[in-house]
Amino acid sequence: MKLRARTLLVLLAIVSATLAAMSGSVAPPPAADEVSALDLAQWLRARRQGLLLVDVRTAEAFDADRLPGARLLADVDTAALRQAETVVVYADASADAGALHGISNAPSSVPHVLRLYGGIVAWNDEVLFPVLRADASARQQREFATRALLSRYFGGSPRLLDPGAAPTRGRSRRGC
Amino acid sequence: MSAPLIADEALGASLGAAVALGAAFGFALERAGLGSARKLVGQFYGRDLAVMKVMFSALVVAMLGVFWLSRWGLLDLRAVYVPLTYLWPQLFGGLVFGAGLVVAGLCPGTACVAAATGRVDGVFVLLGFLAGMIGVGLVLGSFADFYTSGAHGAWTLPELTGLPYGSVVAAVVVLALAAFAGAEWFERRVR
Amino acid sequence: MNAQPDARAPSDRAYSDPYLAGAGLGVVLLAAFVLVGRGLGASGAFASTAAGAVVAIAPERAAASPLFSHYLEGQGPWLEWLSFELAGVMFGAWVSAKLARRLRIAVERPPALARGSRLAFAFGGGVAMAIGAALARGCTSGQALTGGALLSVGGWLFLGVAFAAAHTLAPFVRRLWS
Repeated sequence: MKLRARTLLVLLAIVSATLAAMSGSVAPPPAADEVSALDLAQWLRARRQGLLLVDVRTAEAFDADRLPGARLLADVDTAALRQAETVVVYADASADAGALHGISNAPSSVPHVLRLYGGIVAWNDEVLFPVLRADASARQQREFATRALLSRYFGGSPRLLDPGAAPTRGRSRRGC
Repeated sequence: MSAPLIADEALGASLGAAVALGAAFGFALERAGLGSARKLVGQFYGRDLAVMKVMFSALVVAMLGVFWLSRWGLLDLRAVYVPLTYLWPQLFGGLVFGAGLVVAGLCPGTACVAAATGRVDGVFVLLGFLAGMIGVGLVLGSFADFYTSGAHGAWTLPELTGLPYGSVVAAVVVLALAAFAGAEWFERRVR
Repeated sequence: MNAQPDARAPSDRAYSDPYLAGAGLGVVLLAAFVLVGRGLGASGAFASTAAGAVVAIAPERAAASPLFSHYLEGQGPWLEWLSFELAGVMFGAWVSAKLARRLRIAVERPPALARGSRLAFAFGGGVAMAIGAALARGCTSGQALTGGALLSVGGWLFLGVAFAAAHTLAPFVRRLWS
């Protein structure tokens, strides 16, 4: 009985670990209709044809801060939607599927409607102001160089983080 | 709804959860026999490697749980407190702690288990621990620079190595399974 | 205090399988992350209690201590999460022992070691562990177990070093245990 329980646990651990190694990242993967901020940045950098960015937030939020070349949902007419090949919808954080209703109700077929994974927050964190830890290895610093270039292209600036001085991750706990 | 479920500000719920989680913690430790100092030190004399088995099993289960719950969007890892890294105090502190552990035979958590089950030696470990904390707290100011040296914040092995989180998880599982196999072989040989 | 020398260590068969108990413990730790966004721990409860004791007697020294000042913020030293957790630990341990008929007043020691000596070493070991835990910001539960599960560099460092130190010192303190 004990041996069977142990064997089961070992098998579970091996399967789980193998799948973990295959998965790589601990963050939830983007859904089929989502695009990551970095991918979107590459599309914009490459001046991808027929790309339309639609902001589904309020006009005030749009005025305060927006993605390059984005249009407010209210200002987007069906003609623009018809002409677009890829429509990317974004909100503050991940836009929920309901935000797409404004687009889906358009009379003509709009081929590729995607949501920006993480919204404008992810755009700011990952594209405009990427963070490099001060204790990063040389290889990590080299890999960061491309992110830094991308950041400056869009008018942002890469940040250097001193991990010792940074606020603690998560809630403010007082030790163990 | 994404975890963590109880907000910091919900003090009653948070402290209630503390008692409940602690009760399960203490129950599991006592079940495993780690409230017994003589069983515990068996680890360091190669007689009984229960300490390593319990600790590593718990670590691996929790680690895998964290990985998958996070990946499935059920746990927001960014809101989970990761213990901070201070390289030099933790290196030196680890040495001193380990020395104290093999002399006392119980760590603070297992000493609570021992004390709650009537073992007077557990009570004395706790008294010494409290006395030590008072003493350290009073003199630590003189060592403030050392105390905060090697600060790397919430530094994880994936960040240190540049490896994907999932790869590190898999490596830890492999390490644990190898350690378990080694422990079984070793204990059988000693018997 | 009924203190017969503990001539034989409790039979291993009476205890749960360590892997299963460990897996159970892992689930509890995971539950902690899910419920309150933090892991388990122990030493913080004592640091907090020490802070509370010192601030009552010498408030300026408490505020000046990098260790105590930390626990005097927020909810204060007497509403420390870890203190409530350890109260739970004692209750859960008591329940388990009661169910298994393992409750007994005793001083666990090898027969050759006097009661007083064992208690003195227990106290001394506790003092040393406090120094280590204060410096490391945690002990086996907080740094090694919780930090380890979250892949913290400091947690793994502490885990490896503490166990290495204990293993290394063990031959020199054999008389304490046999």
